[in-house]
Amino acid sequence: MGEKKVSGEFERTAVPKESHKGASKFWGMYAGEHAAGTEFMIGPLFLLNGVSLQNIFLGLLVGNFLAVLSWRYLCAPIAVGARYTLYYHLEKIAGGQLVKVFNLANGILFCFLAGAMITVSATAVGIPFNMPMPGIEDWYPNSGGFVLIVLLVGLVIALVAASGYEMVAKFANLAAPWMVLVFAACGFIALKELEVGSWADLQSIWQSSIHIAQGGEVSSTMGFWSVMFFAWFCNSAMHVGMADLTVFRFAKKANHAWATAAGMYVGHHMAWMAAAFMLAAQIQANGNATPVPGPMAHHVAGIAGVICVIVAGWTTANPTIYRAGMAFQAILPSLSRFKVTFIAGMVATLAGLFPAFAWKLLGFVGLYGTILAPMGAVIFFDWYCIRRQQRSHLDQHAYTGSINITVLTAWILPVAVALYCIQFQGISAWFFPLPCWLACGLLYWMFNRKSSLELSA
Amino acid sequence: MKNILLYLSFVGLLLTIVPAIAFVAGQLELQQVKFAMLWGMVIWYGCSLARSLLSPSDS
Repeated sequence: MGEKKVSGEFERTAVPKESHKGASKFWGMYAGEHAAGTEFMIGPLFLLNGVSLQNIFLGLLVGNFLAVLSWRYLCAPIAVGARYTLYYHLEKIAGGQLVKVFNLANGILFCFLAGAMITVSATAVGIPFNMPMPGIEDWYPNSGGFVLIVLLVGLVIALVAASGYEMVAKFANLAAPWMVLVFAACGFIALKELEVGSWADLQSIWQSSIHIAQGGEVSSTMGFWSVMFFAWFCNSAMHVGMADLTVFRFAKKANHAWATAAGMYVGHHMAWMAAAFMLAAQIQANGNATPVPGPMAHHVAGIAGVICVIVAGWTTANPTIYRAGMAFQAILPSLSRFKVTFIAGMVATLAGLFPAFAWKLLGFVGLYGTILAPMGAVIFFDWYCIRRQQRSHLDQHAYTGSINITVLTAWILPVAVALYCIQFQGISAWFFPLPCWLACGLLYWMFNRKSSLELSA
Repeated sequence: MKNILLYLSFVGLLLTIVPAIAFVAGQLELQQVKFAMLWGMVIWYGCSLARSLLSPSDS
């Protein structure tokens, strides 16, 4: 299923029956979409955080399963019941102006995410130019060469995204099976490089890699629960946050959402572990614990690995910038799609100049879910407790004002508490999407119980 | 023609993953694996792009 087709049709109407798609369209789409440039960063960051191998393996197994269940049982049933995009569905509950505020938050967070992808691509593009790679301690650009390459990569990505990314979406679909196999090949090669003959060998080498990476210590800042919650909620904006209503409104049945398992277990399990093994192999080979994707991939897979990093970063940064542009255009409708997407691309490029966004990707992804996912709870509680799963109730009793204060309050309160705890109490961001989601949904339901009783009467 | 290109593109995918498995089995050196993966990439993208350029009537 082409991205353009998903996002460019039936934006303000329910998807008609003749446009519903079969399950096969979703399997390929999710497998490709989650083999992204950022996967090269996340696995290595687990190693740098000192996570044990069994905690990574089991945490990802359980967390990814919970993510698939969230898509299947929370998002997809509403998508096939209402068959509206997230924004149109939310507009009927929250009002047009509040959706614009939500769009602004979405757009800004998309820009920073795309920035991390641009950084990842730049580390691969810089290899033939002997660009000094940023180190894990570099929060700011570390050289003029890095700045120049990030600006060039960002400019190309922004121009392509602004020109419309139908061609890039086609290229991304074409690249997806190859990228998945390169990830798998990198994992195999790295394991062989580590010279492991048994699980015990692997654990011993893993601990030794953590020891070297942490400068002679072995301390873990993430355990099983951290890995599990991270895996569950790194895409929380998509499943419990209901962004994928836009995708699954085309599904014939809600059980097509099992296709998300392809993305989770290929992209978020196999690829993350392969990337983590790549860093372990690099550490054992030369003691370098900097998780820079370009050199890591070059070490195990040569030019094909480098091209894979560039393609993975490019094909995922483009739609992310395009989505950010769409979000901003809803706020600035007088600007053309080209201009607004190009501006979003340049904001992402500026973010890409700061390697900190890539190094802090785990926390950033948790923050992204904490801010955006709770809006999905409003949709969930509204659909089941107030509209009684009837699209006609949603249409006939749509909110007609500009900002529904009950939705705004239910969203802002838990998110504000979470942001305080993340910023001032130092609690990891990936623990907050679930409590924020529940609190937001319950607050919204409490504020609107009267409407619920009137509708059911 | 499109079918031939399709089969050839699968050869590209095989050249991406099989040498890595052969490396694990001790049958190939790392440099040979990297070389094979490079060719796998060229064949996969070359054939896939050529397929997409051909009109459906050529199949």
